[in-house]
Amino acid sequence: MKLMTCPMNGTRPISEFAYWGEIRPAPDADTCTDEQWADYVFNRNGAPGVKKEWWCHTPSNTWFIAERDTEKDKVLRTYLHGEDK
Amino acid sequence: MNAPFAPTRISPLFDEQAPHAAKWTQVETMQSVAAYGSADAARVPLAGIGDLSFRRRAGVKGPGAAAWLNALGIATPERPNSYLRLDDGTLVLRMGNTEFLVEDVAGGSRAATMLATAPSAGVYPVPRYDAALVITGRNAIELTRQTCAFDFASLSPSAQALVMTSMVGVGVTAIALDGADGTYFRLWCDGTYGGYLWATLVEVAADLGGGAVGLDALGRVAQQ
Repeated sequence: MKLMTCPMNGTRPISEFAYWGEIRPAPDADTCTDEQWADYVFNRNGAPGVKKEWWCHTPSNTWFIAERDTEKDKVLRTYLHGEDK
Repeated sequence: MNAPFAPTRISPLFDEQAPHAAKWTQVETMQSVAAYGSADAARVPLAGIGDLSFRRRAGVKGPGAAAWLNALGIATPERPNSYLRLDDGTLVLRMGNTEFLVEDVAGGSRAATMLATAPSAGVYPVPRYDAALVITGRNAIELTRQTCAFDFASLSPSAQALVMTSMVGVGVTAIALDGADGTYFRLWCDGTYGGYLWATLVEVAADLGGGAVGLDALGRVAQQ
């Protein structure tokens, strides 16, 4: 069974979680070019590596950030937004 | 079954329960099952699944929620994911950092007070339409092992811990309480999933010598 650790609710089966993708800061829509905006909307970074991702513990609706090595599928750490220390 | 009342509130489990109910009662204006049959009393000490949805409850969240509740005379748990049982039996659940669920016992008025009081800054009411269940009996742990990946044996009533987990695919809030006949568990879930959760738990409980139990057989568990 795969496990994930929610910063509020502890370690639980992965079935209790939803993955909501890599954290991707949006470019400034007022100043960016059409190409930059299209790249943000349509393209995703598929290269393996350590990424920051949005995850949600669905029974409690706790949203948090997981730093995950997508090459090894290993979660390095998890924390709530704003608690990155 | 005897003729139903004309209730002002209907349990979210009504459609599932109605074909099996033998006797109805009305508690807190909610039509509830008093008994499913003569086997109810024997099921309670094994694996009884009861419906306590009739209890009045109210929820608030936000950075000012704890102070607002305290101002209303409702003590709040200090730790996230824990609960308090007040002297009058009211349950105060702290879910996460800043969200609270308050559930009255029958005849209680704290939820009504909350609903009638204007929220202050940083306090946001959370409408609650929960299905509220209770699992009793010495096979309750075995029932949770078959329906949930979380280990309910780690839910000690003395620690007053609260857990939010998934049971047969339904997101539930669960606590353990001490009763006169041992530990029992309370569950809350979204009312729209309540019928499925109830029916599934009843089916599993039947394999463990238990099943659905009405309020008459629950006795003090229903009143505490």
